[in-house]
Amino acid sequence: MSESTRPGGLIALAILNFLFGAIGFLVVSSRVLSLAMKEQVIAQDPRMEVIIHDITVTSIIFGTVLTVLLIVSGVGYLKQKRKLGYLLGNLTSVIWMGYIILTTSGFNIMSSALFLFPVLTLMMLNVMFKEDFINP
Amino acid sequence: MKDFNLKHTWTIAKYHMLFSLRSGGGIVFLLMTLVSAMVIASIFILPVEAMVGAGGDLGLGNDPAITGNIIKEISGSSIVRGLVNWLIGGEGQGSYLLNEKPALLSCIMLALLMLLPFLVCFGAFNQTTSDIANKGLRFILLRTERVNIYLGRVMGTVLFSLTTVILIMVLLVLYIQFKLGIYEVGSLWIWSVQGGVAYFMLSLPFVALCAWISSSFESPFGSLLLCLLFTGLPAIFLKMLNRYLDADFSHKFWPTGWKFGMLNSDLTMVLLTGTVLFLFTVGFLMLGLRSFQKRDL
Repeated sequence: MSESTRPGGLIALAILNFLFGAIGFLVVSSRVLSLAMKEQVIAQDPRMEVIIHDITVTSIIFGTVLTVLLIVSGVGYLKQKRKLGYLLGNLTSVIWMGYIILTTSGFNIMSSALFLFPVLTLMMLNVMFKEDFINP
Repeated sequence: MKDFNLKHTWTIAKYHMLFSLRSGGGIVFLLMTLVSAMVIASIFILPVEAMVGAGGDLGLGNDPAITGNIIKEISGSSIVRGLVNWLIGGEGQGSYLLNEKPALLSCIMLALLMLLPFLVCFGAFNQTTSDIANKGLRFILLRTERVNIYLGRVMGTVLFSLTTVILIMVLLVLYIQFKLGIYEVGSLWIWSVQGGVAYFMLSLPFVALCAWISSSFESPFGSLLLCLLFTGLPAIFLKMLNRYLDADFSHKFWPTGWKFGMLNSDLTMVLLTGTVLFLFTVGFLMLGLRSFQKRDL
């Protein structure tokens, strides 16, 4: 199968991975900055302590790993690679769901909306595009 | 229409629906529609959840009956009822939607109905455009007639939209039923079915309109832009005409003018809305089919 027969859906998934990866990068960067400048921020506005208190090192590590995985698996989708695309894409979705559970407090409608993309990715990779990862 | 073959049309519809999920547009439509529905729902549901949480913090317990009563108080207020009456353009409809039906679901459905025509464009803009551009339809034309291809693609898009609508309604109702538990299960499900039918009926003319635009252009991006423009601009123009003529009927000349009719308390109005939306669909289909039959593929 040549690159021209790559399904459009796989390209869309890759672009969405890059998009969410970029958003993830911004979120992780802002969390690192907030943690690094904790004292100054709280000194300026004591109400910020509640928000900064919720930021943990674990969530930052989780977020960084997720961001990298999103971008790498996006490249894997485009190159139709079995390990880099299919396997890593599945792993990314599972880690993403874990990240949502770790960082959101309680189950609500917004947190369930965050589950949409990883669940959709899992379904698409394992039902629609399973046979399209033709490169090792 | 003498070349119409239901078996061929159904086969094309089935494959188009499955292929929609493999195409980029299909995935973007599915994700966008689901995310929009969840965001709209969260605008209405999050404050209710906050109320339930606050009740628990104050030692009142998470009693759904208390939350239900607070929602009834809010939706019973003249401001909220007036707002819904203004939105729908019918006296007494606010009271029907907010007091007689599950108010939370009614509000979510009204907001979704306003957004639906635009969301439909993302799922329907590329019914034939890409295949016209890459001359792919020539291979199918060896096996079947143009009318079957055109109607099959429309039917496939309608089925795909219907599946998405059902998914949204089931997700919303399950969430309201199990997480909030403030409404009677039967009334919630019956109202959600009526809401689903309203979405489906409203999506029909826009799928047909997009099919017409899609069959007239060879650029998918151009087709998407025109679909969005032709969905929104006539509605805005007719609303302005209403103001200019000091009338309240001009907007009814476009399907968006009938978007809330399927949720009306009056059965005659529901049937009239269904008929008008169906006629719009047939009209757009005939125009699109005429252009598709004549064009160079």
